[in-house]
Amino acid sequence: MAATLGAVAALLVVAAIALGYNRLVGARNRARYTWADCDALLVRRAQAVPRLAAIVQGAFDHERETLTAVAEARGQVERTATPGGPTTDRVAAEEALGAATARLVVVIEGYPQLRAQAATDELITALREIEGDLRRARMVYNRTVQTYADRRDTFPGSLIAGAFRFAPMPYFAE
Amino acid sequence: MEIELQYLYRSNDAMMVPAELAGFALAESLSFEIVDAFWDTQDLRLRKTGCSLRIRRQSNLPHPVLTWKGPSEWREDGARQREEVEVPIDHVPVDAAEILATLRRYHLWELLAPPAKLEDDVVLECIGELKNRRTSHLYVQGLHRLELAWDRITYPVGEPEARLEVEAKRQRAARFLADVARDLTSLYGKKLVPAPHGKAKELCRRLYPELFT
Repeated sequence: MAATLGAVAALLVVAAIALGYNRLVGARNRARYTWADCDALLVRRAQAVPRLAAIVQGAFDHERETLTAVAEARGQVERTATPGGPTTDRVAAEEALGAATARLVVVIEGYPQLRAQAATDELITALREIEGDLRRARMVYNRTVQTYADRRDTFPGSLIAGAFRFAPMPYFAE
Repeated sequence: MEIELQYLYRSNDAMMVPAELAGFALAESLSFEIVDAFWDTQDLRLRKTGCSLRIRRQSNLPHPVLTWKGPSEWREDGARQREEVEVPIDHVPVDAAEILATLRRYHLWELLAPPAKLEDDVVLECIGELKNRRTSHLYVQGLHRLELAWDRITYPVGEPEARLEVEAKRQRAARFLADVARDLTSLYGKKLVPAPHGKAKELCRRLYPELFT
């Protein structure tokens, strides 16, 4: 009798662990999938930024500080780019590139003769669209990360996360 | 008012377009890309009251369209019926403040706030986007119009989905939907399964399953 009860209890424990494990995997996968949407937009932004920087570089050499910040941020993004889910370093680098790009756009807007060029205007419009899409993608990603964090950090998920080494995922701020 | 039949297409066979449907003749076909962004509160209060708030970007339209849909009810002919208000807007809002301002500007706030009991300072956020390659086919019989749409939908999570929708463009055309449903069943057989819910709910079920258990 005791042996049967023991076996049933053991089975229940194994089932609970399997259920908790699957829930954690599901939450992590959802966060990774939504990151993929952010990632695609970040790649598009990274492709647009150097073209914008080239316009400023050609026209105004004295905006060197802004251009250096953009180049450094881009370099950091390239160095931290890894396949798979996002890392804290990558997210921080993307946040820095976003800020540097915003400053670059402000610089360009300070020179009406630059803004008047059709190519510049098109680039800025495209960049604004990407930033808008990115803001929405970021909201969805951060939500899924929050759900994953809730599952990972609360009991009994925290025990399973610890045992199976479920790493935290970074939030993506503006 | 939106009245439509919704089906899931469970086959890899080509999506056929009938030349005639319940006595309606095929008059026009279009193909375009759609990106739908859905907005809701953190705890999906709009979704939980059966409503949805959507901003659609359509490749053949110059401007985005903001749509509020109310709770749906099933009709005897198998179609779903719900209140729907669509407003063309000049650009896609990017944050909570902008979407609230847009809703107030177009007087949609008065429609969507009461059923979901939304406070004036509620924070709405983008809860997910789906991408859709749609072919839309207009069927005509006298003054009546029906739109048949084949959707190939990509969700952020999980397998893509193929859907068939037939919408009565005016309320009077809705009386033909029972005949349409019969025709579709005989045309596609078991490949076509009535959709248990709409695309917005499917998106939420895939992204936030914890809110549906």
